[in-house]
Amino acid sequence: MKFFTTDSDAREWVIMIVAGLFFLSLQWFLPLIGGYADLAKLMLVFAILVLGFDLFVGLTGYLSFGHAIFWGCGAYVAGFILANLTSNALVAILIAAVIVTIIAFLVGLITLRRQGIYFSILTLAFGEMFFFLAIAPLTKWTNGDNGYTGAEDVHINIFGWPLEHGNLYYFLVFMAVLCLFLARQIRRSPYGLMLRAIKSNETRLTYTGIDIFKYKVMAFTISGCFGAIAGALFLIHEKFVPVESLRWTTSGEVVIMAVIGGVGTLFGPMIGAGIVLYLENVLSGETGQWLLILGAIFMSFVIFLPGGVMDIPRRLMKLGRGNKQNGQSDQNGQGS
Amino acid sequence: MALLEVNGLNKSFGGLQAVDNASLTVEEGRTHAIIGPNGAGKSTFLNLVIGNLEADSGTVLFQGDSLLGLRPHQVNQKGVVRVFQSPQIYPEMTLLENTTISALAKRDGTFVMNFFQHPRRRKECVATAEQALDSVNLLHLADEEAINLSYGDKRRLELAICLSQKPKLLLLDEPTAGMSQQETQSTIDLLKKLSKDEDMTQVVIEHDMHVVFSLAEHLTVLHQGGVISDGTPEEVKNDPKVIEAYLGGVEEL
Repeated sequence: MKFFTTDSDAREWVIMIVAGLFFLSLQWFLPLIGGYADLAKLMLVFAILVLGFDLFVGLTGYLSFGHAIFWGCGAYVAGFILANLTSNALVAILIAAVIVTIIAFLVGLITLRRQGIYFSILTLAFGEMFFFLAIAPLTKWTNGDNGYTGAEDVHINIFGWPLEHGNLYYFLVFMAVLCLFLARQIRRSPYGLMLRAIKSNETRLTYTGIDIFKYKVMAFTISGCFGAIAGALFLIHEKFVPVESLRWTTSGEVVIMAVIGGVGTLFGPMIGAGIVLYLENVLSGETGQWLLILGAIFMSFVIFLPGGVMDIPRRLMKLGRGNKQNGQSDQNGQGS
Repeated sequence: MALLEVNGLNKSFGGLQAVDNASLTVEEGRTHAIIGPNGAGKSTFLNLVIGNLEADSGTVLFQGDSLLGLRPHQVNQKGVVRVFQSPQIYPEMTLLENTTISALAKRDGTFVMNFFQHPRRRKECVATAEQALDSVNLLHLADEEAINLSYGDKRRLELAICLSQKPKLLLLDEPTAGMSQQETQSTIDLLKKLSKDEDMTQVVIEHDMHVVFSLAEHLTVLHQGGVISDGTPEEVKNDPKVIEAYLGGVEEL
């Protein structure tokens, strides 16, 4: 038991292996509950996006409503690279990540000067700005309302290894585990400790000699980089970018996924992404009212389980212990 | 040698002159108390020194360098550490994490170092953090969450957070406000011990005369923003201006 509660390198490896096996099992496990194999790929892609979101929001406590920017831009940039430059997926992902990281840095420099609700509104405004840029002035490249289709006929590969079907799935599992590993390492580092301190008490941290603005911009930039990788993977999977991927609805969806999974737990939001996508795709086939159901689920999570899915084991354990203690005190009561 | 020299400091809010031409000198290794009635400008004075407020005019020299115009985190990196009136801690984190943060910040105030930190250096910081917890007698609670502490312990934890930075100058804003008599006494003993063992320079802002006279080696009295008396506790106690302005009719202290 102690092994799982104390922080160590060995524990990290075990968690990575378990997470990897879990991601791998999705393709067999999903069809059994009414999903389809391709849905597993989409879940992994979204899991990386929400993981990046949680790395910023969960640790620093700043609510960003602009993560669609990184996701959308990552997908578009990867699309241009694959359509015009090379069919190597790694190159596309790398260039998308670099360009979007710069965008995230600049957006962070401006928006993070404000705190709380003002920061959220600013990121929302930036998101809308990118959306309308993609729709009208940049139609020539983005194909506007119809969505980007330039990379449809490209045979995407990694140095000749075709990235399709099963191969793509294994590649996505690898990327998801890699991103989870990086995110957890960041959280374990002194830097991650400082980010959690920002969430806890900014005043104290400032008077402890930390320039918190730098730390926040860095976290936002890293988060944007994760978003870009997820966006690029989305393009590789779908070979298509709907213009809605830049819209605030995408940002909102990310927030819902993170809350259902458990903000700040890193792995939880990845699960949350899976749950929301499952409901979206499977439930929408069963009933037209699936959005209503999703809304109700989201609300009940916020009200009854603010810690998200990841909080369930802890609550169950607490419940079990509580019952035991009650039983003991009852016995004591009878004895005296 | 003077560690902190403040000369002709002015600050007004609208028409109110909160700090009026205030000057004082804090000698190294001494415990210096600033007293005065409510609204005398004590807290404003502290905020000016620490960089939270911008002074209208005057100079603040710490070890010969000016502190004016620096932002709070820059002032901190020079070794001036502030303890707040209401405890400023990281409630959701463990006590050890609370103090480790400031130990890390002290060693590597620069941002790059915290990102790529060597494990060995991190261990050193944790050792410093444990030492600081030990000095305020909270080490046995190291793995507790800070939110579960009592009020007095929270204030001691904040002191430990500040101590793990090994400050050159510790600024304490009413260190015993809201504490029980017992807690007050243990805080006094702790501050005295720090002053004696580690030769730490302290500036204490305080209301409680008992605390002031058991701690301070030098007193500065503020009244309506200006310094009306400055000297050893004995001198200040017998200063007619102080008795008139602040101590009112109370003859015996």
